[in-house]
Amino acid sequence: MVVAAALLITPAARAGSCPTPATAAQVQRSLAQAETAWRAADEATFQLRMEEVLLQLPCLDAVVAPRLAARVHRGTGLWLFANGDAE
Amino acid sequence: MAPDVPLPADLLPATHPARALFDQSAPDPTTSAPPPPARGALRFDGADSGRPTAGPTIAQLVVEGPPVFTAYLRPDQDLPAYAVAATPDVTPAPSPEPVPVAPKKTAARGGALGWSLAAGAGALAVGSGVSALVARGKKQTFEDQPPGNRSDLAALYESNRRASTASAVLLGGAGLVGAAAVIAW
Repeated sequence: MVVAAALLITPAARAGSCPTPATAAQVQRSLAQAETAWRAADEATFQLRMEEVLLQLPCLDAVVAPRLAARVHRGTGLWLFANGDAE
Repeated sequence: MAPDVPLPADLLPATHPARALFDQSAPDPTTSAPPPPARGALRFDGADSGRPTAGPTIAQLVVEGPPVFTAYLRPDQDLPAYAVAATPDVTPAPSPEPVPVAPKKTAARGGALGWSLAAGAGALAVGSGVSALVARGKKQTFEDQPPGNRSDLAALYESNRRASTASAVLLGGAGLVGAAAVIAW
């Protein structure tokens, strides 16, 4: 799981290599679903939605808003903690 | 984590071990300045600022339209490759080789040469005069005490001739050198 997290958390993609662009709204929706799953202690869904966020991120079609970026960092911190990374 | 965005208690209760980690992580505003791109601008976490060095960041290269790249980077990860703006060449351009200028003949320089030539001409003239005096002395000797024999007469004649010739040559040289001194002046 930790290896998968490490692989997923280093996404970097050229916009042209994405099958479809991702919008900020899609990322926010995935984040919200991940947070809901976290509250519900639904780890599987939380993992799935956070992976979704990290896959959408390189395909963003616009500059990320600072608040959304902070929210991504917050979710990623929870995700790393859930995967055994306490740093 | 991101302390600047509140972490709701229902998302992370105070008793959760991750809450302490979140609360302890003080924001570190330290940033680094990556090389500016040839086109567009780099954005970090949506801000037009330097790259945060203490934590992860969402880096984007924005030119126009969708970002050229968006990357979630840990502090130890490099930015994706991008064309870097050419840095202005700060090395000074080599100064052109100084063009050698023909030295102008200054009045002082010409004067010094003229004076040297004049001195030489004077010396030659003095030598000419001395030679003339020697020749005159030989003539006086011939008139006062004519040689008794033929060989003494020949010797006296020869010495007179040499002195006269030397006087003439030295006088001519003095004239030439004197002319050169005038030209030099």
